[in-house]
Parts: sequence; structure tokens; C-alpha cells
Amino acid sequence: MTPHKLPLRNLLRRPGRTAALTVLVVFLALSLFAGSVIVMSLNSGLGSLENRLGADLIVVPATARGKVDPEKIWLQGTTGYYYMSASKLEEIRGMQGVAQASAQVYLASLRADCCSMPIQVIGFDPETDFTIRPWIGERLKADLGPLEVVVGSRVSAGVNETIRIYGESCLVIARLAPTGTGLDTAVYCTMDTMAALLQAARDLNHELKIDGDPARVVSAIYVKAVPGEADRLETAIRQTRNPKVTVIRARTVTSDVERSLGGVAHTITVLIVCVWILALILLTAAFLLLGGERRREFAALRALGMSRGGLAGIALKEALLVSLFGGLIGIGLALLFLLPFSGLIESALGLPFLQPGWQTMLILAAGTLLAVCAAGSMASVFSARRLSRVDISTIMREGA
Amino acid sequence: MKKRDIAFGLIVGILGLVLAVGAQTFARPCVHADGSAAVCATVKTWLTVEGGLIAVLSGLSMIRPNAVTQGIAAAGGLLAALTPGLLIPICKSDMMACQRVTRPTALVIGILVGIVSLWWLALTLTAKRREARS
Amino acid sequence: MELIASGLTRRFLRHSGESNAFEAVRPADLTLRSGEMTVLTGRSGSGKTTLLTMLAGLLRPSGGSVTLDSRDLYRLSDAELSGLRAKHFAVIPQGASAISSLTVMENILFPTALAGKKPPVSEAEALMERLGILNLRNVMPGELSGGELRRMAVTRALAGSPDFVFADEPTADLDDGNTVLVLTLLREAAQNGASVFVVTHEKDAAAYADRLLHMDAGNLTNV
Repeated sequence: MTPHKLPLRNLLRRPGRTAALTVLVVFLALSLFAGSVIVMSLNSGLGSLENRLGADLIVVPATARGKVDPEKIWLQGTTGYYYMSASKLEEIRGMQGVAQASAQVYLASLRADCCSMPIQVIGFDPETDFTIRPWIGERLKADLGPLEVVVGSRVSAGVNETIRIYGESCLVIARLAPTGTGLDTAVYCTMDTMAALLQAARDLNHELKIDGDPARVVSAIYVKAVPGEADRLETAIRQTRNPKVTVIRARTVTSDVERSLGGVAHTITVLIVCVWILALILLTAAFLLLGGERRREFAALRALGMSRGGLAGIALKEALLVSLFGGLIGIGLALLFLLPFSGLIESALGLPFLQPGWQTMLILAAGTLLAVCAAGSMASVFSARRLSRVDISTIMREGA
Repeated sequence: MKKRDIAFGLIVGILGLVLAVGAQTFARPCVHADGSAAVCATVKTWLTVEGGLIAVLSGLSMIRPNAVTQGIAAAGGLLAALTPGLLIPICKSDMMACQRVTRPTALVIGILVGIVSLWWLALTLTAKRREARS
Repeated sequence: MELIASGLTRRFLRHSGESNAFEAVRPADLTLRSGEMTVLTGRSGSGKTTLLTMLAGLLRPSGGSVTLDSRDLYRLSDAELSGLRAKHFAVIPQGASAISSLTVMENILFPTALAGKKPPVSEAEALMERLGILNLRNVMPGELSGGELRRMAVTRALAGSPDFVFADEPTADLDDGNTVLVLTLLREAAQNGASVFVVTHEKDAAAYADRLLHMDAGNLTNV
């Protein structure tokens, strides 16, 4: 038995006291780590949404909002579809101030089997697209063929599996990296595949409200404006007729999300600060109260030849061990809840939510552990100082 | 009854009850709009049985600490963690309740029951060994 | 080795205010030599424990000095004094002094571990055998009686063969048989080269002493 093992022995010999202190530290670590991961996930989700929307203006039929809010498709993965004539794309392309314009066609699948939700199918034109292709390109080098699809990270179909949409078997040839947005629950295909799917839906008497050729409709037109022209272009597009359109500024979508995210992040930060203040006060008080009971023992150590520094070291090491142990449990618990429940957290917050990678998680965990150890040591400083100055007369006189 | 056994028994027992009740209420698997059960409905029955079993075993072990019952409770926890998805198929879609709530709930509670029961088991075995030595 | 106390005094304030100050130990001169057992007697409250505590380097005197090999103990830093105490001194305090998280054997070997010395396991076992506590080696202090704790403290003080042993009422809580045994062990320690300083009310202790001192109202006198 060497003196440096004494702090651990002291903790193990008093499981009740150790457990009470550990629980407080667990709260510190849990709140800091879980809060940081959630705030970071929301920020990553926002960044990812900005990248994926990738356009200045998004033009949808004026009737779209009556059906489903287009923003909900991008943010929450709500399914929806609405159409306008493909001639609108040509009209917009011809307008002054347009740098790039590309159309997408939306279709919501029926529930494919008993255990699946309807999924959003998004058709895009590989020739002109500038929002989906860069993203798909990260995972898929070859071009998409007929009835070939790429699926979002949360669609439950593996590569080389087929998914049936309105009776058509589509081959999954790639899965996309997660974005933390509603776009993760969509299926992506070319315009040709989409036309075939729209025809299949029509053949099954699915009400799509398309007049004429399904190959000649679009749902949304993504427009990149010439620098400095976005405002003027928006006004010009708004004034077009046949059909009337709604123009959504991508920046508005992201700034709305940013505002909500700011609110959530603020609430989480306030909660973390409150938990920390309360837990630190309780921890300091607990160390002081529990230290009071140990005066006799520390006096005995002093009588046996231990220096004041040695006594303070024991008290600080005990606090450090409790902090380390509690910190690890807190981080473990946070991970145990955050990882499996990320889907639920995302749907509850209704905001893009992209969990950081394991490297970032590791750095966050290390930072949390450091912060908790520092806080635990600080909380025990008063108690350590008191114990190191213990009055030796507590044991030199019987009954003192 | 030792204080330690009461504490461990209560923790494991409450976790078991939360699992059993949760499988029937807040963490129940998907039900169709027409009220019919989805493929994963079997999971509900299994999780309820496993949760109940864990609660009963922890109660028994609290009254009379026993390595066998604690071991079975730990195994029950791990079984519960693996039930939705691995042992019994659940909905494939990531958007369904069984994927979003049932599976994570079973996983978290199952792992916690496993860890706490194994810890309890280790303490019981250590105490027995110490008793035998003295 | 010699421990020399010269002009050692200690004043205490009973309450606040200078008027309530009293002198627990009045100027005392004393030399503790190796191989000698010194027994100090006196009435309760006469200042015996205060003197012992100052000699053992545990209580800073109000005046005077305590020197060991020409080093003034109270001019050393806390770390130096603690190191010196751990290396040369052993204390048997009047009150309970067991470390509750260590077994009896670990408690006994702890001071030598603190001094960085090799654990004197066989010496400790021999002493425990003689004091009848060898069967308690793996027991926690919380399970011991007052007499067993006292015998553990005696074993702890003597096991490391210290140069100086300061024993404050080492036979309190002990029956006659164990009282004789403890005093014999302290005598043997002195014969083996240690300087043993015993504060006691035990009348028979005088028979074991090389030197007998008496204290009355803070005044130290040779008997």
C-alpha cells in the first residue's frame, strides 16, 4: 500500500459518498457534452442545408404552398408534389440576370409496403443541375441510367437493392452522405426516370393533376443569378404569368432556420450554464461538508508524517478521480442517448441536424473531460485547503 | 437486505419497468392508420416480457442477492437491446416510430440494465469470495 | 541522536482577548537521547500532551526551540519537517488515529511507506503476534474495539524502528496484561536504540523509565 493509492482506496471504501459526488459530476459532463453536440449538430445541419440548396432563387408554382410548404420538403422530409409546365424553365432561362437555371420534378411515392413511409422522389436534369450533382458526385462517378436511383442516407435501401415506386422497380446505385436535412429521406433520379414514374403513377390512377405530357412538367426551378442581379431577377420572375409562381429566396430559408437555431442554441446554453452553476455550488458544498467529517483522519495522516501539501494532494486527487469517473459516465450516457435518439431529436426540433463525426466527438469528449476535471478540482480547493490545515489536536486529545 | 443490493435492485427494476411500460406506451412500435399492427408489433410483446422479467429478477435479487438471477437480468438487458431489428425485424424506414423511438429505447435501457446488472453481479461474486476466504 | 528542547513555551488563548491567555507549557528545557525511555506524568490539563506535541514537531511553540542534530525543527519548511517526522519520529496519539480505508496491516505499514522505507512486514507481524492482533491483519479499523485500535497504533509506531517514539497515554483502553506488554515493548524499543518519550497516568510506568519527569501547571520538573 503506497500513499499515492490512498485517494482511490478512500473513494472505494465510501461508496455512498463517492456515488453522491459522482452523480453531480455526471450532470456537469452530461449537460456540457450533450448540449455541445446538439448545438454543433444544428450548426452543421444549417451549413449543410446552405450547401444543398445552392441557389439564389427557387421558383415553385403559386399553388404549391397550398399543397405542401416547399421548405418542409427540404427541412423535414415532408413529401409533396406540384407541377407547372416545363416551358416556365425556358422562360426563366431567357431572362436577363440568370446565370444558371435547372429544374427539378417532385413525386411522393405511395407507402411501398406495410412498414415504410411515403418517400419523396426528386428528378433532376444532370445536364444543367448545379445543386444535386455536386453532392451526388461525391458518391457516384458514373451517370445515372434509366430507372436507376440514388437514395438519401435515411432511406432504408442498400446499394444494388431495388425499390418499387408505383410498380416500377428502381435500382439503387448509390447512397448519399447525410446532410441532416429532409433531403436525406428523398430518392434522386434523372428526368427520364421521373417521367416514367409519373406515367406509372398515372397508370395506377394516382391523382397528380398533370395536364398533358408528364415529361413536360417541372416542380421547382433553381436559379443562380448573375452577381448583384438577384433582387431585380426575383421581381421580374414574380411578375411572370401562366402559371403564376412563388419565388423563394434560399437565403430566407436558411436565415429562418438560423433564427430558430439561434433560439434553440441560446436555450441550450442557458440550460448548460444553470446546470453548471447549480452543480458547482452543490459540489463545493458537498466537498466542504464531507471534508468536515474527515478532519480526524487527515489529522492522523499529519501525525504520521504527511505534509500539508500531501494532505491537500489527497483531497485534490480524490476530487480529480471522482471528476474523471463521473465525466466518463456522463459522456457515455450522453452518447448512449444522443446516438440512437438522433432521429427523434431531429424531428422534435424540426431543424436540420447533422451529428459531428467521431473525430469531432472525441475532441468534444476530451474537452468536456478536461472542463469537468478542472471544475471538480476547483470545487474541492476550499475543502483541500481546510483539510491540509487540520488542527492536529483533534487526535492528540481523546474525544476532541 | 444490504443498502447496496436495494440500490442496484431499484435501478435495474425501474429500468425493466420503464422498458415494459414504454413498449406499450411512449415507445410502442408503429401502428397503421387503420389500426392494424405492423410487422414490428411482435417486438412490443417481447420487450414487455423482457422488461417484466428484468423487473421480477431484480426484485428477487434485491431480497436475496443471487449471482444467477443477476446474470439472467444482465442477459435479459442485452437481449432487449438486440430484440428490435436484430432478433425481430422492424420497419425498414428510418422515419417510422419503431426505428425512431422503440429501437433506441430498447437499446439504451438494455445496455444500462446490462452494465448495472453486471456490476451488481461482480460485487456479489466479490463479496462471496471474500466471505469464503474469511 | 539527540532532540533538544530549550526554553520551550506554549501560550493559548482560551477565548478572544489577551486577558484570557494562559501558558500551557512554561519555559522547559529537555533533552531526549537515543536508548533512553523518558516517562512524563502529571495531572490532567498540566500541559503534558502540549509538550509532547511540540517535541514531535506537530505544534509550533510560542517560544524556544526544538533541535534535532542542530536543526531547529520549527525553522524548517512544512515539507522538510514532515519528511523529517516521517523518517525519524513515530507518534502514538491519545485519540483514534486509524486510516479507515486501510486494513490493520496497511495502517501499520503506512508510515514506513510514507517515509519511502521498505515495509517492515516481518517486524510488524512479530509485534502483532505479541500484542495478539495478528488475526486482525486484514480487518478494517471500523470493526476493531478501542483496545485493539490502541494496540494497532502501538504496533504502527514501533514496526518501523523509529529513532524517536512519542507515546501519549499508550496504555489507555488496555487491560493490565496488555498494559504491561505495551510498556515492555516501549522499553525494548529504547533498549534497541530508540528514544522513547511516554506521557502517562499509569503509575507502573515509572518502573520502566530511565528518567521520570513531572508536569504541574505547565512547569516541567525532574523527579
